[in-house]
Amino acid sequence: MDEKENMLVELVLSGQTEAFELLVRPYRSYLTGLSYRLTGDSEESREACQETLLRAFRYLRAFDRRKSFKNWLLGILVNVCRGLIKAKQKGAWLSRALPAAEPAGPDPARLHQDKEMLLQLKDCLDVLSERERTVFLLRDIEQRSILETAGIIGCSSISVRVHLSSARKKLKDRLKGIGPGPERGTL
Amino acid sequence: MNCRRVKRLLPLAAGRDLSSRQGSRLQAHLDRCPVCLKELNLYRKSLSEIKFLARNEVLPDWSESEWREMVRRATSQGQNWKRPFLPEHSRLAWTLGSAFALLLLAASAVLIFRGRNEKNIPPLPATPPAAKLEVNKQVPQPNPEPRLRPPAPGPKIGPRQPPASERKPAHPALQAQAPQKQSVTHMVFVSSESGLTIRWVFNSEFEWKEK
Repeated sequence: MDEKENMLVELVLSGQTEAFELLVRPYRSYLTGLSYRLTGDSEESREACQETLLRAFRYLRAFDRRKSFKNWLLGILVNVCRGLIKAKQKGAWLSRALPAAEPAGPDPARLHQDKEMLLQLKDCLDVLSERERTVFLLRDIEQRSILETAGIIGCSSISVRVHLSSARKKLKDRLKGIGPGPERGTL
Repeated sequence: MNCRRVKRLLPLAAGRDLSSRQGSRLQAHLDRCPVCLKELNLYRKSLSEIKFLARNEVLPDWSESEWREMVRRATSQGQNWKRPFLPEHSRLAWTLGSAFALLLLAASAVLIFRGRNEKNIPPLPATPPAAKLEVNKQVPQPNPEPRLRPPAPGPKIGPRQPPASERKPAHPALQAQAPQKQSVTHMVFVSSESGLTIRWVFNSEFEWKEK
């Protein structure tokens, strides 16, 4: 954890709650992106983010400052999203709605392409179990290391490897079934 | 390293998540096995496609005012929040455990008091040094009827009573005491060696009942 974050944590704990906004602002995009991909719904994503911020503020005193604040925040978010996913009825994942936010491009062709791409990504992630999806998103999309992923989820690195391996295999089979997509970028 | 083992490692190899030792062994196998190499390329391609989709995905975001409102709500609710004595998930467990402990306490209290009441039965007479015979000792019986059997229809055992015509009129003082008829007599035999106690109870008809 860097000095700036440490100082902001001190300020929040000393009662200056305005510093909390400065503390969490750098991770706003991580929170919104991961919560949306985990829950699959923009409203639930918003709810998860709100709950994450609330818990982070409540339990900030318990935060170990030797560790990464970002990973700690993502760990809270993953737990919150897990709770929301469990609360959802089985199969609701298939009927989730498209995001409420409109894509930036006004072009109808671009809009259609974005929606198609989004559906395809959702379709791919849908074949994964909740744990596999979490591991895959943290490791391959959020670019966390195996050890960091294990720390965020609260399991062993062996478990992360097993779930990651299973997720990649399922995604490969899924994409093989869908067929070749548009021109993709490379790694 | 054979193909079967390599196929298990390919998903991790596609994301460069193998150790250097495993990676070099895998590479040695891939150099001489085009089937496994093709499989690895498939993994890499699918992974790159997913990453491409994720990069270009339009994610929902909130306006600056909405974000600030979320943070403000979190801080205001967090300030008014008091840490519970017990966390939410263990509250139910503690409640059930406490209820079970109370139930256990109540059951043991009932058992203890019941045992004490049984001990309050009037004790038998103290053991005499030798076998003792007590005869004609009156025992107060507030309601002797329910405890005694009705008289048997057969011949009665007991002192022979003279016929009514031969009976002499009793002394007036004795006549006054007549209603106070002795109802129960008991005999107690106590062994000095074993402490065995035998109590015989006789009713007015001289029928005995062993206790």
